Amino acid sequence: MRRLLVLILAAGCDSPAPALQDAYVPLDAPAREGAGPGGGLLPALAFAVVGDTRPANLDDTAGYPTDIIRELWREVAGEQPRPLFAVTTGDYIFASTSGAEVDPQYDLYLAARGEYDGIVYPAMGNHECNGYTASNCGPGGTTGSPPNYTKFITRFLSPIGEARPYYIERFAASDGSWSAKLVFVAANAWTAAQAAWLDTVLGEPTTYTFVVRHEQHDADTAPGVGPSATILAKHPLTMLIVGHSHTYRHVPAYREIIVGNGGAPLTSAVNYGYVLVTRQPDGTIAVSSREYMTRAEIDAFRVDADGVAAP
Amino acid sequence: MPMASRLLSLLAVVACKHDAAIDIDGELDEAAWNSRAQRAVFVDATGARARPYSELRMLREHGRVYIGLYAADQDIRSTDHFVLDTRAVHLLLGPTGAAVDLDGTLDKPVDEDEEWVVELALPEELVGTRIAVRRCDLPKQGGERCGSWAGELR
Repeated sequence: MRRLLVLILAAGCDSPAPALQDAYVPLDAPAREGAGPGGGLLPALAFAVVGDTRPANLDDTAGYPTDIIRELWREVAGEQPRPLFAVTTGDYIFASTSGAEVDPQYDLYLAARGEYDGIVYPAMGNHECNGYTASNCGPGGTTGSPPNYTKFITRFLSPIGEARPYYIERFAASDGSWSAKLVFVAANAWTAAQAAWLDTVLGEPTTYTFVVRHEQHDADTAPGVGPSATILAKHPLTMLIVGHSHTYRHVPAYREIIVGNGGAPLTSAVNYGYVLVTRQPDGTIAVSSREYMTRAEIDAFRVDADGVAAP
Repeated sequence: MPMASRLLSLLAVVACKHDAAIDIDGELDEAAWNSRAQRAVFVDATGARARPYSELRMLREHGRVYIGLYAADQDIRSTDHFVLDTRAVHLLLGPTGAAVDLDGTLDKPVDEDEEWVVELALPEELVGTRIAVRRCDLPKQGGERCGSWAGELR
């Protein structure tokens, strides 16, 4: 009711009426300059995406792709302009649920990730459950809570103030010109509670909506892929950011980018790399896929806030 | 796959089925594969790491040579295969054989597959000291991508 009144008063002034999303922006994003737990106020929307960093073989800590991951994060940190935060698409380990390799592999990953000193928002992959795409961890899940899952919560999410593998980060422009939400879906910790939460948070009006989920649209044996897709279809979506497949690919029909070439065994001719997502002055979102070592651009495209290709 | 090669592979699998150290099931989940096996990453014609990624693991134990072949593959096809050459055998090893772990869907190019793994064991005398292995793949982007490794078995 209060929001409606503000809009009516504004419409009577000489200045342009603010859009509904503008009223939302400064109120709901954390009142903090810079990206942090929960989001923040930013001078620009510019972030990096890195995904899928597991070794080829179960419990193969000796074969962990540390050098590749470290180099990727070093290159992300060296980008100009520097990404203000990063998101990761899951599968940080390949460790048995009863073994002792969970912590050592998380150690290697986090140390390599430390080349970039900005905040990183991680998605949960199937290897943060029991490794099977069909697995479902956490309270209410059929797989239980193996250390792969519990350590992911305590070591990756607790430091950014999250207690669940599904969460939302809210960002807004420091000048109030745009707002964005990043919604992290945990398809391998899927519950009715997460479904209800997802429907609610996707209903929050923002200029841009990015959804980060480990599995791509066709990995539908993951418990949450089909149900979350149904919910996504009801709401605005700028981009679905996924991993799982160890490659990079843009799938326009699903407004999806697959960023799974972060060190895990490559499944195609595409090299290791990362992606930069940057809001342009005209409001479009530019995506640039960069190759490991050379930083060469291997793909680039732009979309409008509604996810449709920009001219 | 030639019948002789298929038969030899099958015999090798059967012979080692009850080995206490390694179960020939396509899953390289025994500790020995990480702790003691010799490993080699395939390279392309320029010497760079091959894309898609392939890896060979070898372990000489109990009078046999255990071999694990890993193939990252976004589109697993029934015609995919490794070519393995040793002193006395020439094997074509694909994702439809015995002792294969397949993570993806066979012959369904519309989705994204992940990997397939072949595990086998050969009598030591058939292997000798040198192994050569090669894999060519047809990624969705087109073209043929090949990788290989050849070297001494320690």
